[in-house]
Amino acid sequence: MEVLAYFPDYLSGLWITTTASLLSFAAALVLGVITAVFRRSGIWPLKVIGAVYVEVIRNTPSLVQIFLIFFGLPSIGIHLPAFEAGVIALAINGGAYLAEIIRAGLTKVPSGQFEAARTLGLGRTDTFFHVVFPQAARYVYPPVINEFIQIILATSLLSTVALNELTGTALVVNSLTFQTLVAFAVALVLYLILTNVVSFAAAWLGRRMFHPPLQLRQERQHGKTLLKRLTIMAGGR
Amino acid sequence: MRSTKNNRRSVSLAIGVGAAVLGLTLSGCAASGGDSGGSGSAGASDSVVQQIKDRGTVNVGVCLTSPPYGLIKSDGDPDGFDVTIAKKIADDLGVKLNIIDTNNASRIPELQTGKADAVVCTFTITPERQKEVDFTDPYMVTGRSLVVRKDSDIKTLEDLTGRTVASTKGGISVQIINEANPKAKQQPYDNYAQEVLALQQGQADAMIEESNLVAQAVKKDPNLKVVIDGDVGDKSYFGIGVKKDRPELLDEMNKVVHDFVDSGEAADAFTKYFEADPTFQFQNLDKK
Repeated sequence: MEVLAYFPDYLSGLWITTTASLLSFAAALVLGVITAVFRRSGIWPLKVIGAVYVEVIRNTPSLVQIFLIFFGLPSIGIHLPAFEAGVIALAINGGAYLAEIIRAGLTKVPSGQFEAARTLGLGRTDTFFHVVFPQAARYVYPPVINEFIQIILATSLLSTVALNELTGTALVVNSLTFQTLVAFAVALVLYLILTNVVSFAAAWLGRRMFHPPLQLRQERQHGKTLLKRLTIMAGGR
Repeated sequence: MRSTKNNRRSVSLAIGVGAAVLGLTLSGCAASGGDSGGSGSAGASDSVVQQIKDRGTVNVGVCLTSPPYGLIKSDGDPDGFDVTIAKKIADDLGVKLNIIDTNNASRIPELQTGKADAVVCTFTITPERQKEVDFTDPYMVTGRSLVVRKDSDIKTLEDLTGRTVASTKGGISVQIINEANPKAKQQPYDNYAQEVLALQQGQADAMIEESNLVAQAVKKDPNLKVVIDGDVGDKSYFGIGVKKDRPELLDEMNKVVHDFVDSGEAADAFTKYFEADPTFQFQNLDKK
């Protein structure tokens, strides 16, 4: 297998994919929380900034956003290397989606919770961080993890700005070995491993972080295993 | 629980229908694959040219992001030096031309998967590529140049140490840069247009590319300059790529190539698209 000779390159590609996703997600989460708070605040300029940001980002293609930051910003003197440009682009992009997810979560916390905390004498900040946010976090945890997975998959777009992450590596290996099927299959399997590690870790964390424990993976629901469900779907008993 | 039972039945029915459709599709593929799949034997390979004629169109892969070899005019039609050859292929076979826009990295997969019958796209003939596809005799010879921005201090290949050098994925520049200076940082882009953009915007310090492409880029952008003209690495011989084991189609393509070069059409097209008279580009092609 000629492709397997490039396995170390795939691993370094996987490393770049992993670090780029983690950094983008962390920054996107911060951006998302700030924007969600902006959009729920009573101060209209903040509301407008939040709304414009979310609408502009969610209604334009991520690839164009990446190109704008990597190829466009040098025109005004800002030169960002491919990795930094990519992380910033994905963070800005993910932040807009996370803002809406978090905003929905905050909205779902009954207003009585807020009022009760205020009545008990807690300040606005304390109420937000100790009463509202922990409850919202439980609601938004599953969709936030889903967005994390989306960010991991979106890093493949960074191959277009000559970053040798996993997809970029597969493209280069393909062009060197011409073994198209194997070259991309290796990348696919590595993505699958990465995303599954992330979702299992998130499920584990969800069970421990929340009280009562949050179940992310539900294949054992109603006492039916995945295998049983498939058997039933296929018409068997 | 009658309804559950019904649901269950309808699900298994749906799966059954799905499986049947899938089965039919697969057997259909197998049948159509059988016609072209046996291209190893002489009888079957004869039918490839016949198939193209029966189909009435020939699919030719051309890179339309590498002006003036391949480009899309403002009215939306493809044009360029390589497009001229693609048109000649269609004329020779007496069929309509269907141009497939491709890029360096997709040239070989395009042929192997049968999406393109032939590929004309600054396709340098190399021994590694000849293991995967067949090439016609060369229709052009060219070199590679080193290009930088006007304000750059890069003058030699040694100066590239630690600097970023743009190339295209699947192009031979990747290997040439490696041989010229292994300490250069490679930036392989998806296509030529992005590669030039990276150099123009300062995201790459230099670019090593085919000399005629480079000459055009420098003519259009006064901020770029050629430091080494056509003399980086070995000379490149461009050929038309065809899927392996299709001798009759290859013969036909060779006829197109020889006619294109010998009739002087190649030189005319060169003058038209590169706005310069050819010097060595069409000489001693048989020496390859």
